[in-house]
Amino acid sequence: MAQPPPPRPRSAKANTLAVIAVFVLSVSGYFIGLRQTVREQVATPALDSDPAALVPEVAGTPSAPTYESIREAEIGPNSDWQSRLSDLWPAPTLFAAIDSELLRVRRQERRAYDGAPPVVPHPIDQTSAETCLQCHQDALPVGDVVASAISHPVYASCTQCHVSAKGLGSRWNTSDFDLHTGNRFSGRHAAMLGERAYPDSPPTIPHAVHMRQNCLSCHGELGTSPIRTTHPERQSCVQCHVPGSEVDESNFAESPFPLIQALVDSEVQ
Amino acid sequence: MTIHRRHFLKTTAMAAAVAAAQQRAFGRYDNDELDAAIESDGVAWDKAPCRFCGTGCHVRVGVKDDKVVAIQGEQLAEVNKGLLCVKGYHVGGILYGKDRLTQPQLRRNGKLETISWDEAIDVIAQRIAAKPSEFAIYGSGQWTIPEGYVAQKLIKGGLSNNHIDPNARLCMASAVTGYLSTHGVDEPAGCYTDLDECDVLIMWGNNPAEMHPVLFSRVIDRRSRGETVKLIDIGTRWTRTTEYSDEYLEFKPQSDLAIANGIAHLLVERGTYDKSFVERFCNFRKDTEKASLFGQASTFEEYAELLKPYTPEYVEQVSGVSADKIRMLADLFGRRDLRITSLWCMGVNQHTRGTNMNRLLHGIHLLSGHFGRPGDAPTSLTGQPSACGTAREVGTLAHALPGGRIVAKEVHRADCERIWNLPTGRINPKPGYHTVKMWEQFCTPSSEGGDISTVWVQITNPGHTLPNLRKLFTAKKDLEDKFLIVSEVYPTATTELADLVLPAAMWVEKNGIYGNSERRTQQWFKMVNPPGEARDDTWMTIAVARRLHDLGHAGMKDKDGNFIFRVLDDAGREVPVWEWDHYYDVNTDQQLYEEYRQFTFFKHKDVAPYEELVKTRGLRWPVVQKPDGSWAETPFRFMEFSDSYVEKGKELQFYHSVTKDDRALIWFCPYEPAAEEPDSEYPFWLSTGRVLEHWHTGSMTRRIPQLRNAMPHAYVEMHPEDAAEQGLANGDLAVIETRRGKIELPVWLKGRGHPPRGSVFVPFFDENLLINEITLGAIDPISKEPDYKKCAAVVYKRPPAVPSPQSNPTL
Repeated sequence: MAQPPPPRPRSAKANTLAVIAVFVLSVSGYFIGLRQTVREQVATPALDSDPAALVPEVAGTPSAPTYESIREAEIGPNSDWQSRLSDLWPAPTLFAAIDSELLRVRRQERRAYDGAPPVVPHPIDQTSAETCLQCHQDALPVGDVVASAISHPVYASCTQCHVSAKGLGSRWNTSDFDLHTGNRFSGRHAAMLGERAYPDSPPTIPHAVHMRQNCLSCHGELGTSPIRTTHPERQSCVQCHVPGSEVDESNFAESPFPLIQALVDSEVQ
Repeated sequence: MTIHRRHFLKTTAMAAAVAAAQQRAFGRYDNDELDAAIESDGVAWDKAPCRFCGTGCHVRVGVKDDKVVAIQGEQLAEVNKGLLCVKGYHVGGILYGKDRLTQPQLRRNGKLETISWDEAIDVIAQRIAAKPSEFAIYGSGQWTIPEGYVAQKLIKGGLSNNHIDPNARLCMASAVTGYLSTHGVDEPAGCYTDLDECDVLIMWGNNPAEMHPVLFSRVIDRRSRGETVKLIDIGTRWTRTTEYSDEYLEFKPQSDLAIANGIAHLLVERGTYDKSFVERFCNFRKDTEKASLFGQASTFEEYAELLKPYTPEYVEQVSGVSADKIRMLADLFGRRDLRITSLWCMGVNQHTRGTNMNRLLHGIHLLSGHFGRPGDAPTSLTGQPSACGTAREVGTLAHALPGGRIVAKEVHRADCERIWNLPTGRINPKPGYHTVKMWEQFCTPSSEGGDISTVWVQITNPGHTLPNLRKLFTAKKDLEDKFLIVSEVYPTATTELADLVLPAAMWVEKNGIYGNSERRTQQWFKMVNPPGEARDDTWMTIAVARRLHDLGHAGMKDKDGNFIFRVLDDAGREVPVWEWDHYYDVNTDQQLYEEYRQFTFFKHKDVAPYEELVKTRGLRWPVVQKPDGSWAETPFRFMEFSDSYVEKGKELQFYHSVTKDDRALIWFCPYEPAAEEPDSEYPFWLSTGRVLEHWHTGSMTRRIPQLRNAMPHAYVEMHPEDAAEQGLANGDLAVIETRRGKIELPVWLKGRGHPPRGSVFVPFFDENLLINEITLGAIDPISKEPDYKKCAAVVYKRPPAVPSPQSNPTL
């Protein structure tokens, strides 16, 4: 029994229609796609229009400067900072010997008196202490200067005591905004040498050690030359060096070496 | 080497001898504990509290050749334990600004001319004698206790007019009314030890990282030691404090009232408040129709009912702080295993509802039982070194008398008249003018009822700090018959309008006693001589009183006919301390302090004897004598384990309770809108405040190069999007305009503080850029303290073509 040829399924018709539709759509889409969109038409400047008008001002988004103007561009909160490492010290001689007088002058420039927290010779991040610790947690040579290590245990709020000598880094750091009064305060800057109980004995510490518990901050391998340790391999400084009489008289009420003291005294007499 | 040592010992001995001689010269004691501190280079060290804020750090002052040459953090001091902030480390420099005032100056034909002290004292005395009832003293939280005490006695016991008020009115008056209406007696129950003990520290509108740096580091340094402490910053602007905080809840100005109520609401609704604590130690209170200090009785049921609207969702809507964060706060307060300390300062106090906000903060601590243990404390900080000691305890306020008494109460007046040996009725029962009123009266023409004609300003700078300056200060300029006397150390915005300028000794140029934020009374000795003819403020007041005495003013004599400031030597002879040459013949400070001390027992604020203060780095009152003769301080007040005035077994006793039943009051106070809120014309909130480097008006700190360089000028902080909308970039000059006027300031974006959209912040330290010319000056109805944190402003770019009316640099 012969079967009748199967009727052409209805779905085949639909398929043909769909193929035609897709073909028409893609061809017209192709040509439409070649055209500019409305937005592009709006955004595309006429050649003679003002270049400043090219970039729409969107609130909160500062427009980017060109690469060539980037050095002068006022972007970001620190735009007026002109900070170069060599501004900090005019010293390409980090590891050369420094005259102790020069060292003293430099110390004084940054401190109101011996024992005052040094001011920060560069602009600072105004909100976070994290940035301080990036360089000052441990001593870090940066270019031609050393960011010295913190001399005391880490207190979390650096700016409590250390403020920038460069102000807000704003262009208003001018005399017009300042009080022109001047100050006659003359702080104590004692240049001191440790004493030795006898020749070759370890010198005593000639300054207070409060807030200077980390000796290596100044005396370490990256310390300044006249006061740099000669024996960095030894870690426990106070094993041999003790506060001197300038700091702690009670230690010197009587000589810790009475025999030697008596000998020296008799020599003098 | 030995020779070196001998030389050293010799110079040390010499230095010690010089120091000892100098001590005698200033009528002072040897301070045993510091003897060892004379160093080889002839620097003598002595203790003093820092000159600046209310923290009350102790410093060691290094003196050589009659000059301060170095400062150390005092390691023996419990407050700061050897640490200071950058202001404290440079405090020595405040004495040596090149423009120190050294001569009395009188304004003649518009110009200040140098005159003699004798003439200056005479001018003041004549001015007072002519119109004693129109004379006022405007004083300070930087007055030493004896300075405030003599001014207080001159006005209230001598002139009987009560017109004396301190700048502390601008600073902590709302804290006073908060404590009074909660505990019945002023000043905190806790102390700084709470900061070492708390698990959670909530800072309400407070930026201690800049304003109380030593206290702040005392908390955050606990983290360095491995302890856990959760910091919650509830503020209106991102600050350095926020940087260290675990939670930052940014609220819309004024809505702190709603936040506090939101916490209380949840505690009550969930039943997580401390029932037994409330039943044993608390009563409830609400305000009367017209705001009043003690309000009216309420009940827990009524309290709960009044709180009902303050659901977390409603609070979120009002404050902008999410409901979840309100629940988080309520969760914390609901826990008994945590210790919670709240700190606040100007954000809460300089508030047109400052008294209410103080009450609410005390309220949530009492309601949740977070009170009465170390680390569980609501504590208000002060900004001045003796706001507590002099303004609050000596009571140099228009309505007050020493030791917690008030002029309105007859028994209190009688008590003062007895101690002062005055005839009955000498003290006037009518309160004088509070600060804002005093200056309003001074700046109003006499013909229009301005009945204050002479004001003597001591140790403060109202020409810079009063709100709405043009109305409350500058208006004086055109009033011929008004006379302004200013005791100062440097030229300021106030001396600008002064008719008579008196050069004052400052800090360690005189003997002094301060009282800090934790009830600690601290003493120091004169260490160096003041420059030129600068003299002690105490002396000035006594000298004027004596001149009035000699002119025949009856008020300058007690009922036995003796001068009211009678100072005796060891032999019992009167010393003419009104003559400068004899002022330091005896320790006048000590005698005045001991006289004042008698006032302090009444409200159990017993301050220590002078000699005890000499030996210590401050003692926290009440200081009571033990059976063995020793003196003991009281770190924690009202608490049995610490306060010997608490009856045995009571555990916690508010012994000056308003309700006379040893209970504290939990207040309900509603959220109410600010006095001036932003609108379409003035769309920004304007808030003012301080910075780390400068202390208040900067008259001292701006003369220290290190501090001036770090913070050279004022600025306006705003949100970068607000700035962009106005076409303002970093460093551009903006005009800030309010209904009072306008000023121009450079814009600082993403700087130290980050205000949210719709608000701007300006620090007030800069006398060239006086933000107070445009602040509002609306006051709290109870404390009379102005709100400096909220008014409406408009900010826009300075139009380039218009020349600036101020002395600002041009672009």
